[in-house]
Amino acid sequence: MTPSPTAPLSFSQERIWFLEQLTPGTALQNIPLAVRLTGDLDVAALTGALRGILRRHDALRTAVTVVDGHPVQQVSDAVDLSVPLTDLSGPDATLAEASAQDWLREQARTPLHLDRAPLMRAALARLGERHHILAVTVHHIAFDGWSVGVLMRELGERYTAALEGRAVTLSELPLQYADFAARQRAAFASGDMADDLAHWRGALAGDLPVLELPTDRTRPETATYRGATVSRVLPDDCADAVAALARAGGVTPYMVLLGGYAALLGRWGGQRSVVVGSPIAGRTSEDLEKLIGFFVNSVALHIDLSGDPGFGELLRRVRKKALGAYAHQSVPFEKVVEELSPGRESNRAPLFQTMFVLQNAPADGLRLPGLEVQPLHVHNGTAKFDLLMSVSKLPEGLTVTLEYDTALFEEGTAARLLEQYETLLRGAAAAPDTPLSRLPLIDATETARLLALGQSGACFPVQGTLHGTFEEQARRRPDATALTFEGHHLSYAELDSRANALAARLRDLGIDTESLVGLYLNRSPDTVVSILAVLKAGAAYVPMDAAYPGPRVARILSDARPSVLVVHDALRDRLPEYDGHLLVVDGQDVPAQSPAAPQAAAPLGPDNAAYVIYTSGSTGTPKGVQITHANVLRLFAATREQYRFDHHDVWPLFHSYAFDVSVWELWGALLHGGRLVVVPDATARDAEAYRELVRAEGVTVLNQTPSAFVHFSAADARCAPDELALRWIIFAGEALEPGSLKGWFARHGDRTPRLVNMYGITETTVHVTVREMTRDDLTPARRSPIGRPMPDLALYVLDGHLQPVPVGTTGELHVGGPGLARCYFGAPALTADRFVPDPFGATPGGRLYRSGDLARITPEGEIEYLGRADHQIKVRGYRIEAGEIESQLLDHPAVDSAVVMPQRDPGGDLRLIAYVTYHGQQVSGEALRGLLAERLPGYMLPWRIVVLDTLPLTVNGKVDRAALPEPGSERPFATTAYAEPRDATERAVADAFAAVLGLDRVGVQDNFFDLGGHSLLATRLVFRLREDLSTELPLRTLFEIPTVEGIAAAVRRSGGSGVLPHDLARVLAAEAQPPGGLTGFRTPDPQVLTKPADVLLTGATGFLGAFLLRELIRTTDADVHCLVRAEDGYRARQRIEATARRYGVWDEETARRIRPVVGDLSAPGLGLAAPEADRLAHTVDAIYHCGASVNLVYPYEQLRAANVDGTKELVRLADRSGRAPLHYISTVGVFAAPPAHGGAARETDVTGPAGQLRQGYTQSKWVGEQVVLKAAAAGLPVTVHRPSRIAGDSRSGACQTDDYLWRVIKGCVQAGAYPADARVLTDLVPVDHVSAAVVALSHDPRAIGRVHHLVNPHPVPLSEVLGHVRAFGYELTGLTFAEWARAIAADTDNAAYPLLGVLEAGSGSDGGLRFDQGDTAALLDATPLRCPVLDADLMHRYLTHFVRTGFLPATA
Amino acid sequence: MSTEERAQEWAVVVNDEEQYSVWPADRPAPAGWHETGRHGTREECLEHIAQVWTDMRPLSLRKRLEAQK
Repeated sequence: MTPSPTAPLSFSQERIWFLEQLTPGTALQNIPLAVRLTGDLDVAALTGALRGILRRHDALRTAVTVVDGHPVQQVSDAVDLSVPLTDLSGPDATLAEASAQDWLREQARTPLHLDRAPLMRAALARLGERHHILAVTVHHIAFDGWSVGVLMRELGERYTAALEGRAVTLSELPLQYADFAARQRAAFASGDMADDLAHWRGALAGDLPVLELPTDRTRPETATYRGATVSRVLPDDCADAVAALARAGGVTPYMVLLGGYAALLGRWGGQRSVVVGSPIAGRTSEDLEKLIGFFVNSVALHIDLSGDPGFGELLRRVRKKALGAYAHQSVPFEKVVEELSPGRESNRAPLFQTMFVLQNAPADGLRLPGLEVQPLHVHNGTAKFDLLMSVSKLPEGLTVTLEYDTALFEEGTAARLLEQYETLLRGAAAAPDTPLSRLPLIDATETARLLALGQSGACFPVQGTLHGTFEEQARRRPDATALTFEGHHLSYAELDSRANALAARLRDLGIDTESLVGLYLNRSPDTVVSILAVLKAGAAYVPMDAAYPGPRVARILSDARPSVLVVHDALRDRLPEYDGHLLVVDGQDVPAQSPAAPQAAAPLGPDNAAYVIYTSGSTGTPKGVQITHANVLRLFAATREQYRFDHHDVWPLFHSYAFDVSVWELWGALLHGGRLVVVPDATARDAEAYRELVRAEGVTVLNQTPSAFVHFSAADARCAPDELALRWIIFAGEALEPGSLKGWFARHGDRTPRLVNMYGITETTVHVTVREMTRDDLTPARRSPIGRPMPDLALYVLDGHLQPVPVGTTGELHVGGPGLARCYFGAPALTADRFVPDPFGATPGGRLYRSGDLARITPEGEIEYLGRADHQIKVRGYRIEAGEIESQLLDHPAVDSAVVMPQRDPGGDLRLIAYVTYHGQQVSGEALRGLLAERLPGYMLPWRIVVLDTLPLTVNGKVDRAALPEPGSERPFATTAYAEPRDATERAVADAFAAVLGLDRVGVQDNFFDLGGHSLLATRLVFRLREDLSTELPLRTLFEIPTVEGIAAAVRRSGGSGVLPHDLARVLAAEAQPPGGLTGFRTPDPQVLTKPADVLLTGATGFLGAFLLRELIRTTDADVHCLVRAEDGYRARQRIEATARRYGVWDEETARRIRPVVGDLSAPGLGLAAPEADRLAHTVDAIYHCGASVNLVYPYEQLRAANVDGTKELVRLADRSGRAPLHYISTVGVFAAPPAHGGAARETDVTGPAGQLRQGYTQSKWVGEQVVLKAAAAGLPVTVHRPSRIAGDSRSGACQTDDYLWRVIKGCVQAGAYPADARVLTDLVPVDHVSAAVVALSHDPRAIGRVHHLVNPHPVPLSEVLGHVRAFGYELTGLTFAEWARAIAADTDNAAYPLLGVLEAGSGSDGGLRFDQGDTAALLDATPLRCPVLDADLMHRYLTHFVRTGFLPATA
Repeated sequence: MSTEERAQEWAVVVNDEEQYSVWPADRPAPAGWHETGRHGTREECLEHIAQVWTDMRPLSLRKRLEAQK
């Protein structure tokens, strides 16, 4: 049987087909249906009915095949449907039912193949004598929601008719799906949808928000499309509430349900607007209603949630959007996508990433006599979107189903979202004016549960003071060692006595209860003595680290205004101006010892202040946190159960006393009778020395910031595995990424010592939470778990209204309880702002501290720290948590520590820099990047990975982010050591590498790609090498041997380094000869010249070729034979049509008159079979040779076949024809230098010199032109046309984007800057002028045998062109060319970036090649053809075209 | 501060220790907190607090110290 004719696809079919090419072999487009049939089933009747449906609806018997890369549909009459029956019956009904579920799943999930008809399958399972399940699965390309109803009704009618033995009563179908597809295409082509498109352009204008929901898992680089569903039946009262909301708001229930979904998404993702897709039946006329097929259309609804409207206001907004969408629903979604051409990430759907569907036509329309029919829910196991919500009215109630991407979400999360949806709808119904941000998402029970997670309500009453407890220890064990420093010890009695003496002196100076005393001391026993003394005097201490810069000390002094400042003599010089009393602790002023403590004026209580520690706020102004004795005493009371600290413990005082972890260290030892080892400065800075101190002193409690511990652990790994006395290692001060513990756990396990993460804030007294860390926490990519609060504290994750956020949602950590500081010293407004009333605590009048830290509660009830609210990074619109990237880096065994920081690029966009340190084994940056690339999406990959020996730390032991080096021009880490270039070639190559990569120097063994090179840079490098070394290095060489020495060797092999031009010139000259044996020339018949019947055109699938084709169709009656590379004639036609359509020059006339010729310019004999070549030689009246392989990077060798040999073949063909002139399209690029006369190059001037032509392309065109001109000299009628650069259609603006001017313009727009001093002339000729001129000249006998310059007689300075660009509405800053080039060079994504090499060359003196077109103009004088000037109007047309096609962004 | 916080009306509240803070004006203050009668934007309320909250020690401490003089 002959195949039936093919027909085009509808636009939506085309899109589905395209998606299927991206992810072939999935069940993504399966629409599965299933019904349970109870009763007597007539299998034959059912099978017959299904076959009848298949026969009736062409769509189901369709296969999609590909013709020349384009899909077409082909209806096949021969296909049949088998309905296999699987017997699952057995004695165990439960087992049978389980088997049936498996069977159903398999039915739904087995892919249907688009290239095989039918696009449906059906199967029956028998579970018992009177119990069957029917499963029907149809490909979405032939089916939609409406089709379900059609299928069910027809199935019922056909089955019934068969049972009743009568004919089927179904009216004739007025048309089939392919008719609809053709109708749709015609409607679109006719411009009928222009208004609709305009609506969508407006409705979806501006930056559309990407759906940014907090996901359970990191989004994969490419979507996996695996999905699952959860469902929830809304109770009747909730369904009634929806109906009531709809009535009250004058909207449909659909709008209420959609509005609720949008509100939920907005709340959950913290977005001010969301785009939700929604299907529209698309059966826009009655004749479509009885068809099975893919008619459903999607509309994108951009719903504005900004301004925190009430739900009623939201409904008004939704209604407006929805009505607008209905009114403009006929334009296919695909066309809207094309029109808006949004920036596309391969892992996100365009325009919207979620859909909302109201199923109005459920699958319950099936009536089968003698059978009870029950629809079954089946799912194909895929998800096209992050989330898809569908609501159906089912017998059991209004059912909400959420299909979710299982790569992103857990089932529990999806189920919780449905709960929240219900809660939100109820809340909205109860109080429609409630602002969206205040609508409840969780019900009272869940609220209570979440709050309870962060509360335990324990209370630890404390008495006395810190120093009082210390004194108690001194009385009990006076001789026990209290303090060790560099081998010297102080007993408790000695320490107490020294502190008493200083305290007495302070009292003498007027220090009293609640006074403040400043401390400005080096790390020493004096620090401890002074702290004790200040407390004993009744006052609170204000510590300032000796390493603080002067201005910071000055700010603290002026804020706290302590009346006495205790200093070390050595630090006096560094003191800023201070007008209080200076007490030099190591001077004559202080007696050494005193047995008794002085009395404070008022007896001290636990509510007296103990210290004021200054922390840096996000504003940069330090804030003094005032903490009481009680705050600290209860800290130890509350953790007693956990740690059981006692007098056996040895604590290092490692941290600066100006950082509150020191408070924990100091009192951890002194309150319990333990020993405090004051760590000397030098030791604290040297991890190995510190590790030795910990060993030698028998330290039992080690406190570290995670960053400092990385160094400690590394030092430990280098030491002999001797016993450490450690009981506890406690982390504080920074987020702990569990991955950083892997080395330690490998050496020491997780039991001795035990490791504990303590999240804390100065404002809540050192620590808040306790979380033991074990090996189990090393699961890759586990985020920082901070555990539960200490028993007397409360910890909540709340939203901006102090309401608990749902599980999994990001909120701000709030802390309540007796750890809260008294206040920010002297800052009532700041205190009132950050310490707010606690609505949840048991204590009336209690406060909550708003931490500014982000966290979420995991489904397991754990609190996960997510970073600072003010450290959020957004890259290319994606919210990024640096911690997530850091934890992946740490997952590499060689990585010790990792910090990821955002950095602004010159364009103001953020990019990520990763800093890593290694231990032992080192790996290449490329390997790390590879690891990240496997696990993280592209937008999360660091731009650079910088390897450091150590991470810089602040005095507090945290990573000093400000001190991280700017990734500048230093040669980044590579596996290889730097090796000097050994000869001039290597040096030149190394210099080129360095210049292109922006590095100081590059070693000869360094790998281009390891050093940050990528394919765009590679292109630039090749340009540069060609200039510097006159080498013909092909780009691929760089990919094969990307090292300096490898490239240098390749350059030597190719005879580079200045030798080549002569060789090349010789080669080119040798090849610039016409093929031998030419005969048969005749002067062309003028009649034939102007009125050809058949012409041959090469290059019709190119830009100029498409316009030449149009010109030939317009101005002649000839059939145009187009030589095209393709598998067959049909595909050749498709390619030509595709190009012509792209530039808007396709019409029916063209379709009728083109004659595709399958061939290949680069193949011998043009790849034509002998009869075809003969036929052409006999029929063709003219040859237009426009085809060429255009590539500015390929060397001559790679272009010769197409551009030189192909031309020779055409010369031969012209010769054989005996009459056809050859019209050859060349380029002004064949001039390498100004002509000898020094003026503009004229048509008759000598081209070349060939040896100076830089590009393989221009070399090949030069040779091709020589071949044609020499053939002309031998008598062949030819014309040669040298266009300059070709711009778009001067009428429609349609343009290709390859010309470098467009890329420069795009680059300017991207960079927001332009080179104001660019005097280069742009010589652009609109393509319609070039094509018209070529054809006009080809008809003119005077033009034969001559060269024609198709250049613009009025070249325009680049600055003027850029002026038009600015006038068009792009705001650009004027820079010098050098500044501008630097800005472009800084952004490898800039469109002008790959051109920098060319631009630099073109911007200098040799940019002055000019072309004269006097001779050509004289010939064209008689025609109306005049080259349009590139003026404001024309530029406006081009720019409009570029904006419309998405090449350029819309202007502001 | 979020847009919501800025747009909302706030009340100056105080607890029994004479510690000040702010609370949404349309919600009853939590137990142990009392409205001072002062309303306005969050900024205005905080500005007011800066004026009136001059001794930041809790009331119980102030009373104890006073009694012991």
